[in-house]
Amino acid sequence: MKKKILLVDDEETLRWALHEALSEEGFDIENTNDSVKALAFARKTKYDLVISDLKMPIMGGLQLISEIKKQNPDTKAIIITAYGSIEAVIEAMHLGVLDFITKPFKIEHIKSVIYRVLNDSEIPDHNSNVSRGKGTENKGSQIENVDPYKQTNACFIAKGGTGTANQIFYDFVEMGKLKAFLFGSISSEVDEKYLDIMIRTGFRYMSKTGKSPAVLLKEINSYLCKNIVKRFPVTLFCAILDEQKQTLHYSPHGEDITCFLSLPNKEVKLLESLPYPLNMFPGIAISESDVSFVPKSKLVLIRSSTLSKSLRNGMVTLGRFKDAISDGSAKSCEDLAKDIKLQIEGLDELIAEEKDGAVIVLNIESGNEALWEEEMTIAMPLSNYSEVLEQFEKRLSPVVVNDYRRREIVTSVNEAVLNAASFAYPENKKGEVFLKFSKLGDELIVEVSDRGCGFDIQNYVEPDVGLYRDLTKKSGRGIFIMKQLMDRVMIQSSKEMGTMVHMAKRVICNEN
Amino acid sequence: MKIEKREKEKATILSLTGDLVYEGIDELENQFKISCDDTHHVILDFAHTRYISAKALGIMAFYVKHFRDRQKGLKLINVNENIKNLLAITGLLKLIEVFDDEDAALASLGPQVGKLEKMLLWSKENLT
Repeated sequence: MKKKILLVDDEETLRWALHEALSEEGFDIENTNDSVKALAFARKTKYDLVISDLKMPIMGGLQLISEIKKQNPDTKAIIITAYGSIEAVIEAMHLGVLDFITKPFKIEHIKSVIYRVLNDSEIPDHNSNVSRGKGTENKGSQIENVDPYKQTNACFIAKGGTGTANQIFYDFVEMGKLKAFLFGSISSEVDEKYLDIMIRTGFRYMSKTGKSPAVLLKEINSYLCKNIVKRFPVTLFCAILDEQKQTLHYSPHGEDITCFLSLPNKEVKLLESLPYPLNMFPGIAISESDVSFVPKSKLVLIRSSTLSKSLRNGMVTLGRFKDAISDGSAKSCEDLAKDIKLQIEGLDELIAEEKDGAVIVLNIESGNEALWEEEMTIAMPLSNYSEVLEQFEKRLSPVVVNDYRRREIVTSVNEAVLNAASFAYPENKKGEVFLKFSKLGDELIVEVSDRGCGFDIQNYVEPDVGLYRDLTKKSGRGIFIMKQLMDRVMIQSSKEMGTMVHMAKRVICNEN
Repeated sequence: MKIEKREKEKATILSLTGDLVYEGIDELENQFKISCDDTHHVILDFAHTRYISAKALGIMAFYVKHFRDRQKGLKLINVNENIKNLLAITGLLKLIEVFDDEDAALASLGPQVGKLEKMLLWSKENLT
């Protein structure tokens, strides 16, 4: 039976071009330039899919889809627009819009999206290890999914064999001679079925602007933080392959994906991934690296946080890993985590820990809430520090009314600033420490950046507070206190960017 | 940050005015050092202190042990909830006694024995 599609767009040329192209594909198409008429059509006929422009007179695309969904909740929807914005994407995802296509687009692209949307019984299956890829290929009426990474012959993903699987999603955009890849991983226990679509849509939307992987991830992180109420770690690997220059620019953040470059000479390079996950703090510094990418190289991504940890801890040597993937076959990679599982003692305990640490309960909120932000710079070396503390209090008092909670935050900020003063600006060295307070949802977020030399976070050891001797040591207590008083603390440190401390604390609603 | 020092009964009372986070920590440490030479207990009055830093906690942790070796105590009075919480999470509450006020802290040092009482006690024990 022919699938019924309702096409609504006030741009006549595009509407008819799409009508023709989709009719040729064997779809039953109805089109109109009027959203009110479209609603009337939808009341009479049950459509499998509605493709609507976002901005139309009288009734916009989102409102139209909302009304149609009230009549027929099973009707699928795609939005096309020249005015794509992250806010619109989020609102669309709330309504159950399955894809968001920005104009101008190629007919082939929208066809592939339509086939995918109509083929998916639901939005990606979160119990499966790997979400479907974005590419589809049409052969007459037969629909066949094609993995875009195999098409590009540049990347493939190896599934973890642990069974605790975080869900993986990925996307691919070709921009002339550049290819942009996105790989993501979130806990399978996070009940958020639209999240990967949001991230992929944001990636596609932003990658067209020609931004670097680091900028792409920074923007994705920023809008995740502002629009997802609950915090849970999101791992993203974004790469742009410049085949002409034979360079891969990449930005990996989070611990769940391990990235390797398999070279044609059987050499394997581990692409260093930064352990800082996304969706935790809006202002975390996102870095980027380059690696030479000669023809016939393959980018290999292993989705297994236990494997990532094992490699970082030296439990699995790169040599053993190299042997397993040097033949470059997907099967070898898919079996890899299983093989390693057999070889790593205590792996099951690691998995159990992961389960306990999983974050659940999620909601997406529209980004309408006004964002409160306050910024401060503190001159180094410190002087009149009591006045600086007064400033912290003053800045925070409008949003953290509860004295006790505010003092916990001020105490933590104070430790971050004093750490900066001790490590980045010793011996009366001049400079400044930058502070940013922001409120996102019901959380107060603080970012402290020393803009100086990096604190050696890799070698940081938490004090044992059971032993008074540890308390008398000169380092470690400050971070320990921050971690105790705040809900989340993350510290990024490098010689290039200095040290950034990110902290967040939930401010109970009825306090404000 | 100011530290006012006075003696009362068997204790040296250090009253702090201001936050013990940056300025004033060295002075506090200096006062602790001076106190090591006598037998008086040390009472820190936090009535006018809202914040203390990790460094101050470290110094207190060091001297509480140092004083104990000399049969002295370090006691805190008028401590706000924020500071009490810090003492709890760093384990210092197990080492440092916290009292509501000066009288309670002094009372914890035991009954006061003056010269007259000492003489009477001596004569009772030695002359009977």
